[in-house]
Amino acid sequence: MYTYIVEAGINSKKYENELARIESRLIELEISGRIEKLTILKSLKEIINDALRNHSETVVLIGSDKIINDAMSTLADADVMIGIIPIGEKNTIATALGIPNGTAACDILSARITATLDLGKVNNRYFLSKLYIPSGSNVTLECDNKFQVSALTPSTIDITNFSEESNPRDGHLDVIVRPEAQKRFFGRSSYSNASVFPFKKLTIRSGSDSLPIMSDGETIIKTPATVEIVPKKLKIIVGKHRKFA
Amino acid sequence: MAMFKSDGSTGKQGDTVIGAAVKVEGNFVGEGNVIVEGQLQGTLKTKHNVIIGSGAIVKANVEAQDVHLAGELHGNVKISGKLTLTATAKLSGNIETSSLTVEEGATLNGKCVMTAGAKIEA
Repeated sequence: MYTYIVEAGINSKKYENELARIESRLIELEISGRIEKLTILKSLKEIINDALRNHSETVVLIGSDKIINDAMSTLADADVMIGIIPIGEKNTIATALGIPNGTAACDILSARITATLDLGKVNNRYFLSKLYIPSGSNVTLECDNKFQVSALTPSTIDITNFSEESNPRDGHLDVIVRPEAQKRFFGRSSYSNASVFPFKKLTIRSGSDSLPIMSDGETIIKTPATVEIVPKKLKIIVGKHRKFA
Repeated sequence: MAMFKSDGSTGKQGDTVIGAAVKVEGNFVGEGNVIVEGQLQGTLKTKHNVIIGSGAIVKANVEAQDVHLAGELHGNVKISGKLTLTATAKLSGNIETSSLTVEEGATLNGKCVMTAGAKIEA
């Protein structure tokens, strides 16, 4: 049985026709199921837990990277297959998984090629793609309890499981430290001399200042924090043209 | 071996890059190639290759397959493949390698032990 969950931002007139086309295509492919739309009154966690109680074997997230990131902490510990139908803006996760936007994603669901991916965990919260720390000084990173990395200049920090730089099936995460160079015209910063460290466990400290750790544009936690890899945690439906082996 | 792209990032997954704006202290054990452009203090071990750039300062014992040294290295070096010292290299420490290439201008202070099948190029 399939449960489809539609992101709140997608549940609007702008995407009405596209959602209708997706519903029709799911019926044609005989993979239709219960469709739940997120509202202020229905939280994602409640809907996912309802789906699991009703023995849904596949939970499909319809929307952007936001719904995928928001759903991770609830879905990570569940024994359920995850599908994605990307709609709207910012679908970098679906693109990396080889899933096209809109109705074409229904055919990927139907073909049901599956992969087991690593997840990242920051304190007690799971993430699939990446975390980001905006520019800060006095940042130190302790990697795998073996060595310590200190940024000598104000730097931004990316922690990636799933990106152009990282493979979500290699059993480690990457931390990328990018020193912030002089401001260019129009106030934009340029970056050079990035450092890259693969790790399994990372402790982030920032002296007496507490820095935000962000995911998908939202602060989810503050430093100090511990980030670790949870290998082969997530079962997900992928496309043939995914960007990892 | 992966080198820097023009934007300063690397292109090969699994490689470690210690950029010019960071300092690493401790026992570094890499699973892939290691590129050092910044500062490293402690020990450095990998089964793959190490590139130490011209601006890098490494105070560590190094164990690796091949090492390409263009910067400063203070420590002993044990290599299963080949060691290359470029014209800007400064090495203070003992060497154990099977193949050694030294360019004119490189500084080498230490003992050198050539292992089986050793080859020296100058």
